[in-house]
Amino acid sequence: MIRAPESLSDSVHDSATWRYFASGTWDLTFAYLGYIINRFDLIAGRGDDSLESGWWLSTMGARLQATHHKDHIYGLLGLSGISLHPNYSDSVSTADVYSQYVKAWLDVSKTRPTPSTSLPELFFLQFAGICLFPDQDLHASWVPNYPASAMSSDVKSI
Amino acid sequence: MPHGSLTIRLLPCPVMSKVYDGWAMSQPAAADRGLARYYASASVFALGNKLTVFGIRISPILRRENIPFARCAGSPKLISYLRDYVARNRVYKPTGTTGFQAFFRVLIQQSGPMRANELLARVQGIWDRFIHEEAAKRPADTKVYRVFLKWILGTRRSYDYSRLRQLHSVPGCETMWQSLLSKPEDFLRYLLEALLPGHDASSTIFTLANSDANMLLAISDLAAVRAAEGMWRFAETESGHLGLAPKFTEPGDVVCVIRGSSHPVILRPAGDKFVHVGVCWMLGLMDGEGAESLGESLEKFEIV
Repeated sequence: MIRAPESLSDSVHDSATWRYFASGTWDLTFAYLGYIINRFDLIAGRGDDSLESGWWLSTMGARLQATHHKDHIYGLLGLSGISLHPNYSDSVSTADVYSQYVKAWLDVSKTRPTPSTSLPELFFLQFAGICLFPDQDLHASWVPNYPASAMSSDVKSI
Repeated sequence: MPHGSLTIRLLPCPVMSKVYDGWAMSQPAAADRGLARYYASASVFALGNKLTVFGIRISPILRRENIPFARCAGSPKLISYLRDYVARNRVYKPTGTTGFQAFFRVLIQQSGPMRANELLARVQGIWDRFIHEEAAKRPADTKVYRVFLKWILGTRRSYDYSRLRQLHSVPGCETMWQSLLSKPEDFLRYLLEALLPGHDASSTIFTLANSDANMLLAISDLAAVRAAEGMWRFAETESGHLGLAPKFTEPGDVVCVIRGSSHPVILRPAGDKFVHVGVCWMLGLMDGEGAESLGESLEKFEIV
């Protein structure tokens, strides 16, 4: 299960997003859909492919609270459409999920004829780093930590 | 002059003269002009949980403050650091602005070109908000303002602070912004001089109004700083860059600009590999200036 946090972020960058999240569950559904459509339109208007829109959407996982750490990725698969398959078994660790996430993204990213203007190739480094997420147990320092990011309102401010 | 509006003379001055094409993804125009190679995909996902990226080293971190700056922005600690920083850096080498201006740009995280009046309004606005909040908590702390003016702007001109305090209790005049506007001549002149020394303020007239828009601007700046308060600290590099780094950044960590990232990153050397400390915000690196020092070859960083 994945849902919007109760406390809203102060982040200016994400203020538009948070405005949609601010209005509660019912409104959220429609407002969020509207936001997604709007976002898709924006990206489409810039000539980016919809695949990239999906990846952009997947980054929303870093802002949403989830009951299972894997759900920051898995919970949005239906919307993002990125090519990952949910595996909740213990054979796949949370760290594995996020590594696979990055790997899949870099594979997509490499095939793009022109570089992205909406999603930097190494965007995930913003959600990683031992000093921003000192408690991270995701093996490598570059692995994005969406669970911790969702818990913290300030890491995404720059 | 009607209360709440102020006319000052300012030259429309691009505070940072140069606009760079960048690594920053927010500049699609750069890609259109054939600068896409700066963005080009070069990352390799290697086996063994290692991320290989390419970029350039900017400079090691020299010092990192431990001032949770937003929460106590009006505190003597922050003012102390500002004073110390400006004393050491009259000029901010990476961009050529004053150290004073650089400090505030970092505070509000604004790297791009700004006109003099916009800069002035935002710096003033954010300080007003801070002082106002401090004053609301502890009314006696309006003295912070005096300290601020005296230490930072190097002025001994007196300012009628009792008047400020009185205005706080007048309905409709709650904000420091408004009280400042009741006697703006001194403050703005000194502030402008600190931001843009030698600035010719005689040739153009701008109106700096106490408008809702200006208030909103100040509040949104405050929100940006607020959001940064928990994890980010002032950090200086050996190359003279000032910016915000993650709280636990240590001297010796290296600020790097790597291909494919819209933010500079801080990497900690670990043998022949690196550990990703976190992204950072460095004034003078946010708009692609790193691309200027691009040679033929980029350094390879293996991040573990």
